[in-house]
Amino acid sequence: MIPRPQQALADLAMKLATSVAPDTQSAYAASNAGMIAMLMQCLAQDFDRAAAVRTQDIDELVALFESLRDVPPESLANRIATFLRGSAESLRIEHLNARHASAMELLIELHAWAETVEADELDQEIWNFLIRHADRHAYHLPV
Amino acid sequence: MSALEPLRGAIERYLVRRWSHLQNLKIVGIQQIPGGASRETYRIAATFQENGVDAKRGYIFRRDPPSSLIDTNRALEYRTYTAVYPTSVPVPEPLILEEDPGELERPFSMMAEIAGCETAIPNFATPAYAPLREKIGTQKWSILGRLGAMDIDELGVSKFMHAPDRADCARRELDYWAGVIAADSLHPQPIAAAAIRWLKRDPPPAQKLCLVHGDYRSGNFLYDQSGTIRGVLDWEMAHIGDPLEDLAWSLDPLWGWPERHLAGGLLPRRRAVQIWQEASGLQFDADAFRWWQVFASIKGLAIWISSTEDFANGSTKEPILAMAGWVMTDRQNRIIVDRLAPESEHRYAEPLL
Repeated sequence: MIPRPQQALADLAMKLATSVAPDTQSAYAASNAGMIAMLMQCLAQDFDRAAAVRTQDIDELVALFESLRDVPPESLANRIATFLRGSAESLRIEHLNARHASAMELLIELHAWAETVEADELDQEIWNFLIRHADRHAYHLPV
Repeated sequence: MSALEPLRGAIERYLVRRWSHLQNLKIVGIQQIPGGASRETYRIAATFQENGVDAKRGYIFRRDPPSSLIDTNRALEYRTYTAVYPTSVPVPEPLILEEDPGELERPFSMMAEIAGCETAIPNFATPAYAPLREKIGTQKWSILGRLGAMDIDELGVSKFMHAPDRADCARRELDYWAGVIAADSLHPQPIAAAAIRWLKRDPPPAQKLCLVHGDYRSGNFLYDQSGTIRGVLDWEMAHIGDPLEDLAWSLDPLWGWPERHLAGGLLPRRRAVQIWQEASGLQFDADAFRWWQVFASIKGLAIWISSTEDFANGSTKEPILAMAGWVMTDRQNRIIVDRLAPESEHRYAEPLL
């Protein structure tokens, strides 16, 4: 996941202006320009989907936490309950990221616990979530 | 005036002092080489007279960047080149290690250029190079096998590298790279966490210790138009460890992406393993190798996560850091999930060997 995409776009634009544009004759500059073009494609994909993929991840984890049949240790269960009572402060990416990070931290702990107690069904559910998570955050770039 | 003119002049002044036995030394060409993720890399051409005879030579000049994809020790890398150069593993001739940052702003090293070669992986799919895949692949994994067979004391690397206990080298590598992920992640990493837990369960002992290149893959060796490998590059992550570490890294699906059946864009994985076995004389322990395959993806992920952090918080804003960080993190995550998820459809990686 790209951190601070807006800042990254600004940083890349600056790079393009200050170190690539003045010297596009060299292989190094050409390579940089090519990479920046690919990165801008990633940013464009993330710009379009950033809120959607984060919200999908969060919604799926809320559903997973709400439907837990195995009962995790009290401390983890309490933190999951606190998370389920909360919501993102707004739809700004910064706020969705904060909510997403909380969900992912709980997921990591829950997954480790599921492995320890051999809660195979839960382990499988978490892996299925991770497959969907990896797919929806994938960048589709020309080969 | 080219943006590289000040550096060209500085290198020339340095070499005139350093190589005072040469006359009329001039740097007549300098180009920055793209893709140098851990060092700023330049190709330079020099003319001079030696014992009254005119000469023109090419060199590779590698300088520490202000910020790097991989935090590495330049002296260790240079000494590794020096140790490997006299052996059957082809590497460029190391010439200068300058650790005084006062000379050219940052420490640097210089090697002889191996001219007329390529490193690019996409070439292997072109009409010119596709017929050479078997030839290049056979050399690639034979060289790695020979490296794995070498004795670390005879090679001399045990004089300047830590030699871990055979029982401990897998755990040491895992601890290091898991530490990088813990330190540099800007967001929780549930896929990395699951893989690290998987790895912690059963790190295998090494059957022997060898010099591990640390980044042995397509893209890190020079091949010419006849398909001959002329030099193995980028030894900055070299260390003493398990021979299976390099083999697994070389076979990671990332290096042939999105082609998952040809390792490094060259050969089927099982063929590569067979060549390595024949050249190394070592045993292929499938259980241990499975561990190293997952480790390879975690080490990769650690480097990409670190690059993401470096691009976000560092000062250089080199596009290669973002490229490695954003694109490779995505692909490596898909590879790990593909390999470890119990109901994987293996869309991005073949099942573990």
